[in-house]
Amino acid sequence: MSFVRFDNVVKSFKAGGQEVRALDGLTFSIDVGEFVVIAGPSGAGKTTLLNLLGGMDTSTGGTIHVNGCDVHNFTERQLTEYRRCEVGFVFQFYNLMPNLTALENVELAVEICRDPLCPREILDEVGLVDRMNNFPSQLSGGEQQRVSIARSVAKNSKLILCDEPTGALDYLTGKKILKLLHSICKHKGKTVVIVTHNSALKEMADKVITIKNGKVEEVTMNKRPKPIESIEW
Amino acid sequence: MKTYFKTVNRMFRANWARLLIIAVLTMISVSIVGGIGSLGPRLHRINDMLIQSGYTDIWYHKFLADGIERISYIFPTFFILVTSLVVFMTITRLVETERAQIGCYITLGYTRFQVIMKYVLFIWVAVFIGCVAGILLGQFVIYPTLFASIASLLNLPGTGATFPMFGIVVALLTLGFSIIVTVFTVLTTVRERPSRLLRQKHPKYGGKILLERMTPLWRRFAFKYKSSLRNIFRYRIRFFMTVFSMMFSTALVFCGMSLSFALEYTNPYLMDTIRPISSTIVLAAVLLNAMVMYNITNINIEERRREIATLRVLGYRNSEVCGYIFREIFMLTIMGVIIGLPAGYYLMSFVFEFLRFGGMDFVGWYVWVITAVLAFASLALANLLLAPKIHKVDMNGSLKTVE
Ligand SMILES: Nc1ncnc2c1ncn2[C@@H]1O[C@H](COP(=O)(O)OP(=O)(O)O)[C@@H](O)[C@H]1O
Ligand SMILES: [Mg+2]
Repeated sequence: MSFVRFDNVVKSFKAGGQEVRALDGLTFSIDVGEFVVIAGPSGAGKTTLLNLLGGMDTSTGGTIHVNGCDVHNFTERQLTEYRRCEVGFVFQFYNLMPNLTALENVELAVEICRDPLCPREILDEVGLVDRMNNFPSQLSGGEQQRVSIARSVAKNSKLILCDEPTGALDYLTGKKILKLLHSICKHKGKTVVIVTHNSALKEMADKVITIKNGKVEEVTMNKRPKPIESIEW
Repeated sequence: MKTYFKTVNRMFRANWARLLIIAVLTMISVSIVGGIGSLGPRLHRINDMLIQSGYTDIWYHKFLADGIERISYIFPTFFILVTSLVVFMTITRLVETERAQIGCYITLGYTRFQVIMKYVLFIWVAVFIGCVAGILLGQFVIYPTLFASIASLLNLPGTGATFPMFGIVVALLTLGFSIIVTVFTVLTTVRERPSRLLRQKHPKYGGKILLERMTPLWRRFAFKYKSSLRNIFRYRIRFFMTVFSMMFSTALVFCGMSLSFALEYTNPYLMDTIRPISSTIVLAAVLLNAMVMYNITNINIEERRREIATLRVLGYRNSEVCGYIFREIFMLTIMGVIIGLPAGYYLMSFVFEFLRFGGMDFVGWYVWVITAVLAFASLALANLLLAPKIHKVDMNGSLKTVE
């Protein structure tokens, strides 16, 4: 039994009177502890997929199972509880609360969790021990993304979802962030899903799911994923 | 030019709630001001007529007409003041949220005049609608009702027909004042270099407030109160505008209440005639107070969509997200009411002197309590009405863009 399973998932939007099928019968699965890259061109439906997986939106058809739950049947309230306990999100633009310090931003997420990790320790682990009391506006993009990662890790959920986590960062900073996510996956046993349009990142994943026009084009397993340091793009 | 109209159109559509609030506020103010304002001159004219036709025992009519006229001078000032303050606050915060957009238009070659006109048009439409509706409401509902009740009490001859001069003058003043306020507010933003406008919306966003330097005290605050307090004290101008408008509208309720209650201790003749007027003032003041609360809550939600979306992604429940927004407004209201009550007290002691009847001695402790209760009831109502707006914030749309 897989940790995550999508079966024939459909998601359509009504935009300007006409229907857009962002996901058109998507099927794939993810196992516990995998480092997964979801790749594909812009507009392929990656963000839509991640939103469904993260309980931020509801599907039009098909079934979504995560950790034994029928996410596709969840009510609005159940989805809130699901986001609260089961998933951590990392966004392209960090989405930290501007009026809270780094530490407080992590505490904000942890405050409502059942079994969270210590925010200070996690911030230490992501290399922000000296910046805990800084506000987002006082941190660089890379540092803000670290806070955002710490926030999702401290929730102690099994699943971490990242939508273009390096999209707003420079090359080297982006690499460091990916390395951090990878080590969180491997050392903490988290299932990490990264969405990207950068196909070079495929090489570092355990599993690569390539999306095109709302369909799974290809699923490949890397027997020997490359460390991020040795990937260039 | 075509795209210019498109952007104007879009602004109207995105901010129709703010437009409506300003329009309703203006309507309330202008209608009450116009309705009561027409009474004084009319009563004087009837008085003159009575003298000419040989009446003798009418000194009292004159006294009454004078009293009503004074009421119609002093209370309108407050109403218009609150309305202008709300216009000022709304436009300031609208411009603040559209800083980057303004910078963009200027870089694209739009003139400053065009940018300013966009906001002037917005305010003009809002205030104009309010003024017209207010004059009509004052002339055809409030004035006739009040006149009829006074006329029947005093046995006055003649119909109540009159030209709404007072209302029109006040409407024009409000319109002019709102536009001046808007031009100056937008001008200060437009004068900044476009590069600065584009670069950062909130240069000082994120930082410690004075309260935090008192570490032992600060540590005692629960985590969520810290964030509310920071939000409140972050922008001084915004803070003062918010508290000021709450203070003024609360003070106005206090004044209206004081007038009503003090009347009970005056000559029964005076009491019976002025009671409908004072009731009208109280009603309008309470409505105005509620509108101010609604406006502040609404603006707060609109400015914080991104934060609301973030909380929802983290799995905060609807009630918890509402708490995050409302806690802040609640604290602001406490401050507004705490300052507003004594402000109302002092204001009213001047008003009584000016009116030459009544006095603060007749204003009991219950006026304080009722005013405070009404303010918080308005707040609760505004929050109740606006909670669905918070629940509707779209997580995806709000988070996928750059600030
Ligand atoms: N809220 C929405 N309303 C209408 N269309 C949408 C919405 N969200 C996504 N789409 C459409 O769905 C498709 C996939 O979008 P998205 O998942 O964001 O792609 P990706 O993240 O791979 O770039 C696009 O064609 C996009 O225009
Ligand atoms: Mg995307």
